[in-house]
Order: sequence, then structure tokens, then C-alpha cells
Amino acid sequence: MARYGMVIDLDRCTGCGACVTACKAENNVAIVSEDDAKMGRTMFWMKMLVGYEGEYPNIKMKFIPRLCFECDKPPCIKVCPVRATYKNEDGLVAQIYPQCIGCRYCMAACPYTVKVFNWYRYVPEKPMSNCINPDVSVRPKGVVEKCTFCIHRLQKAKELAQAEHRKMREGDYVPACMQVCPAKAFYFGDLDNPQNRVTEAMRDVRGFTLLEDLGTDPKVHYLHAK
Amino acid sequence: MNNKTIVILQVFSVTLIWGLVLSITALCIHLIHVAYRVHDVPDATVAISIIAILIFWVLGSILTYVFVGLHKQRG
Amino acid sequence: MNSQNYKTDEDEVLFRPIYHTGRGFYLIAAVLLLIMLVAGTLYVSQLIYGLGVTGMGEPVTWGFYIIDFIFFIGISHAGTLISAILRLSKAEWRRPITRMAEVITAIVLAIGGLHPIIDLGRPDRILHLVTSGRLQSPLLWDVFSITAYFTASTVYLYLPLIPDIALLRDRGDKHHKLYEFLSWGYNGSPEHKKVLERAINILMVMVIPIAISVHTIISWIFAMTLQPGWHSTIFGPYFVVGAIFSGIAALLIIMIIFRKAYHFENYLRDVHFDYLSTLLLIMSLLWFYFTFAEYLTGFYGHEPQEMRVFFYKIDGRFAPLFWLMVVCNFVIPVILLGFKKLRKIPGILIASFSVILGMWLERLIIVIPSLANPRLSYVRTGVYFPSITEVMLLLFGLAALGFGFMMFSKLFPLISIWEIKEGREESVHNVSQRLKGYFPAPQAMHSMEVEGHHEQ
Repeated sequence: MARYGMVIDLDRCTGCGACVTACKAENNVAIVSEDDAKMGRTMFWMKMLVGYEGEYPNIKMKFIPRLCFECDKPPCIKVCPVRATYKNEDGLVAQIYPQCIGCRYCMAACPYTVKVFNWYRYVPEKPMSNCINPDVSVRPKGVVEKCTFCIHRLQKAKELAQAEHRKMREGDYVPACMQVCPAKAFYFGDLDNPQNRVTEAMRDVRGFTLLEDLGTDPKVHYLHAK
Repeated sequence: MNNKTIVILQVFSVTLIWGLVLSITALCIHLIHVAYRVHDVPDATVAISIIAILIFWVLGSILTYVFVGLHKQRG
Repeated sequence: MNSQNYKTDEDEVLFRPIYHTGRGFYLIAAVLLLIMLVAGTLYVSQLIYGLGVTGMGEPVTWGFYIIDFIFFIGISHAGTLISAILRLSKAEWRRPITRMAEVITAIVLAIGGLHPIIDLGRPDRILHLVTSGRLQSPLLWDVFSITAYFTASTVYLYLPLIPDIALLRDRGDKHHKLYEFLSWGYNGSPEHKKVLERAINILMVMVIPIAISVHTIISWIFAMTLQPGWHSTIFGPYFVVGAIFSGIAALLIIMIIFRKAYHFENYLRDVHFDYLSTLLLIMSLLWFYFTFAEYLTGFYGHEPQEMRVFFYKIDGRFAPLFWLMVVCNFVIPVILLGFKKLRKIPGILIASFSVILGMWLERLIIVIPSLANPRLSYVRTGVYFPSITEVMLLLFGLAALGFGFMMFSKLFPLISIWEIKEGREESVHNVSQRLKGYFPAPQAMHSMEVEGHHEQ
């Protein structure tokens, strides 16, 4: 089975936020009210983290698009009391919404705080209700959700490949964030295939992962020249 | 309510604790079974289950011991 | 008619609350019920609208409910643990205290055990824990350990209650059938006494490790994650110490209140408060030691993520609460209980209330700052402010504790009557015998001399 991973080149990233928007639209991620946003209930599967380097006046802004890192050794799975999150055969940390009891232990256990919670039932309002993606279910209230690497696209790609009696090719399956990136900062694919561009990018000397020392083995790597 | 109903109710109250003990045991066995089926750290599940089952069985036994002890002398 | 014969019982005061109810009782019960009703309504709205009615958000995904959960389960350590340790160490002064301690445990465990369910986003799916629970999740450990502790402590409350129920049954006044049912045919014969004593002895040895495991496992919910401020090996014992600490304080408060309300002055005497408050003082020092050890190791290592949480507590947003906690848990108890002059009922009451507040703050300071400062430093520091629902549900817990205790006092004696009687009849003799055993007997000294001669 495949082992999907991603590399994001931060030296190419302009921080435009296209990936954030595309993710929200693709996955029907809830849009919350202003009051809720102030309470920290904004829902982002893909979030643009902003860091500052250096002292004034020589400040450099650093943009880090942060999605679920699909860790190879995920701390969130260990603590789930009901098997609502598990690692599937493609190496993705999957979330089963009808199984989740909403204890939010996985959110507390994730060192990257990538998981978000449905504090209310999401009812899409007028303009957004017209562009709900039919491939992705809207989550019920009271469950935890997170980036899935657009797993519905993987399903579609697999079915297409099967129908055409061929193996999956590189580029068949691409998450929404990567597809829209104008700076071409993303690399994505099967990490077990050494010919892929993503595996090549992973060997780049600039590569690093966030909080490497925790031993979670994230499958999303970053490239950044110091 | 005569004496007989009271005795029946008392016996019923002891069966309640055994209901709890047995259902905990059944739950543990079920969880072990599921853990084996989905290959989800079954050894830890077994270890924790053994402790849990043991504690509840001892608790049930103590209560039954008192119940039997108090009723034997009366009859 | 029947009851008049018993007016001569020397422990009649202990039976009184069961047969006589004052107006104050109804008034307080009504107020507590009202609080519970309001909180219940708010909880229904949470069920309908979802957890959005609370103040929680991201990254602070756990709030008052989890804090109250730790707090209430902590108080439950008053009972069974204290009473088991005192019984095991043959402390004779325990006799009028054990019952109240055990009642607190049973009631508070029931309240505390509900809190994780209140905290669930989908309480309707609670049965998923049964159908597909994962025993390797610390939350499941909690389900099992709290169930075990609740069962053990209810049995441990019930068994020493049986002789008292038999006493009530023999009076034949009120609820005759209920006492008949609950007394399990106990008649006070030596055989019956022996059976009961043996069972209590086994239970009290068993209950101590169970009680310790409960709060250790609660601490492991936090310590098993990788979060800064939580991932600490000291957490298990630290939580247990805090639990016993807050438990003794709760026990003292309840003792003082019910001593006043039910005129138990003759039973709960200065010596009981003196000994118990000394225990509270020791726990306060122990708590300080643990807190100091926990924070100093974090500070000395100076790991950046750890320091973010550390300074958030010490001089950041949580500084006022942190230092209030230190004052409540250490400064006030040490001053009020350390000096014999201040260690009187009012001083003890103030110290106990301050410890209860301080220990609740301690739980708050453990849960919130670590969540608010995630390990990933690019994530902004979270804010959390509780909503009215969460505050009311905390009050619900406290009200339910008071209400449950009052209801219990109307059915069963709050002070173990048979243990008092037994103490009066037997322990003076037993203790004097035991005391003699503490010191070298004249005979033994003699034989040692003989042995000495042989060696030469």
C-alpha cells in the first residue's frame, strides 16, 4: 500500500493563503461567527502560521502552512478511547465522525494542535450553501475533525485507475491545497516510490519537520534555507 | 410486605453486584476480542483487563461472604 | 410509645436527626434543589445546542468540566482513604469521623464521575465506550478505576453501616421495612460481628490501593500526553497528595457544619479537630514540597516550551491565580494550623475553605495554561473564560454534595453509633493493653539478662 506524504517549500511560499481558502471550500469546513472566532473556534484544516524572525528593524516574516502532519507515530491515535481515529492502509490518520464521542482527548494530545471541534451544528449560510462539495460530508455537531489529505480525492483517483485498468500514477491524486498553490510550493505523492518528485524533495538538505524531537515522524516536511 | 419478600429483595440486591461483576468481565473479554481483531495493542488490553476483573471479583466475593454469613446464622 | 423507651439511650443525639427535621433543613434543601434545577436546565440547553454554550475553544479544549472532574474525584479521597488508613492504624479517635468521610466519598464520586460525560460533545454515543472501547486509552482506565472505586467505597460505606441499620430497625419507628431490608438480618451476635469485621478488614486493605490508583490515573490523562507542563513523572503522586489534601479539608468543613447543625459537640470534640487539622497541615507541607519540586525541575531545565507555560503561570495571565493558590494552599493553612492558639474551630474552618479554593485553583492552573500554550510556538496563546453554564454546573456539583449529604443524614446516622459504643466498651481496655505492649515488658528484660549471662 502507498504511504502518502507532502513537502512544502517555505522558500517558495508567499503566504497568499490560497491553500487555506481552497481547503475550506473543498472540505466544507464550517464558517463560524465573529464572536465564536474571538473564542478561538475558527475552523481551519489548513492554517497559515506566521512566525517572526530577527529583531526590529530587520524582521523577517515566516509563513508556515500547517495541515495535519499525518504522523507515522501519531500521539492522537494512542489516546482515543473509542477508535474514532486510526491509521489507514495508505498511512493516513483517518477520522471516523460517526464513531467520535467528542471527548477532545486527541486535540489535547496533538502537539501541533491541528484538530478542530464542532462546537455547534454547522448550517451553511446563503452564498456558501450553494457551493457545498458533494464529495465531503458536513460533520455533525460535537465531533472532532481534521485535515484528511483530501482522502475523497484519493478514493476517486483509485476508482478511476481501477476502471482504466492501470496503477495509480503520480499526480492522479493531489490535495486541494496543492492544486491551487500559485507558487508551486507543494510536493505530494507516495513516499514509498523513490522516483516521485516528493521523495526527491524530501532528500533536500533544507528539509525539516516541526517538533522533530518528539519522534512523531510527521509525513509533512518543510524546506527552508536558514 | 412480609418477611419473605424482604428476603427475596435482599437476594436480589446481592445478584445486582454480581450483575455488575459479570458485565465488567464480559466487557473486558469483548474489548480484548476487538483489540485482537483490529490488531490494536492487545497485550496491554489483556493486562489491564486482568487487573480490573480481579478487583471486581474480590469486591463481589466480599459482599457475598457477608450476605451468606449474616443469613446462615439466622436460619 | 416504642421510641420513648429509647429516649434513655446515651447516644440518642445521634439518632435525633433521623426523626426530627427542623425548618432550616427544608429551607437549605429547597435552595440547593433550586440551584440544581437551574443548572439542570442549562445543561439541557447544552445538550440541544452543543458544547458551544461553554467558553471552550481552541487550543483550550478542556475547561471547567475537566477541572471539576479532577476536583470532585480529589475530594472523594477524603473518605475511604482516610477512614481506611485510620482504621488500619488502629487510631481510636477515628470512630466518630469514619462514617462522614465515607459518605463524602460515595456522593462525590457519583458527582465527579458524571463530569466527563457532561464534557462529551456527543453524550448520546457514550455506549461506544462499551462496543469499541480501547483499553489502552487513559480515559478507559479512568472508567474502570472510578467504577471500581465507587463500588468499593459504597460497599465500604455499607458494611460498617449494617449494625447501625440493625439498631434503627430494632427501634421500629420510621422506614421500618427499609431498615429490615438493608440490615440483611444482622442481629449483633458474635458470629455476625466476626463476619462483618473480617469483611471490613479485607476491604480496607483493598480500598487503599484502589483509591490511590484512581487519582494517579486521572493525573495520567494529562501526564501521558506530550504537552509541556503535563508530561511529568511526578504527576501521579502529586495528584494523590492534592486529592487527600482537599479531601481532608472537605471533611473538616462538613464535620464543623453538621456538628453545629445536629449538636454533635459531644462526639466531635476538640481532639478530633486537633488531630485531623494536624493531618491537614502535614498535607499542606507535602503539597508545597511537591509543587516546588515540580516547578523547580521545569524551571532549571529551561526548555523553551516548558518555560512558556511556566512563565504564563508565574507572571503571565495566570499569575494572580497562581499566587492565590500558593497563599490558599500553603500560607493560610500553615499560619492558621501551625500555631496552637489559632488551631481552633474558626481557624480550622477558614483554613479548610481556603484549601478547597486553593485546590480547585490548582486543578485550573494545571489544566488551562498547558492547553493555552501549545508546544508549537507559532500557535497563538489561547484564551478561556467560562460561560454561565459551566459555572452553574460547578455549583450543581457542590449543591448535589450538600443535598446528598443532607438526605443521607435523614436516613442513617452520620456518626457510627456501634463504633462509638464499641469504643466506649472495649477500646479503653484494648488500648491500655496495647500501650503496655509498646514498652519492654519486665519479663522480657529479665530473659535478656539471662541470655547475656549465657553469652559470657
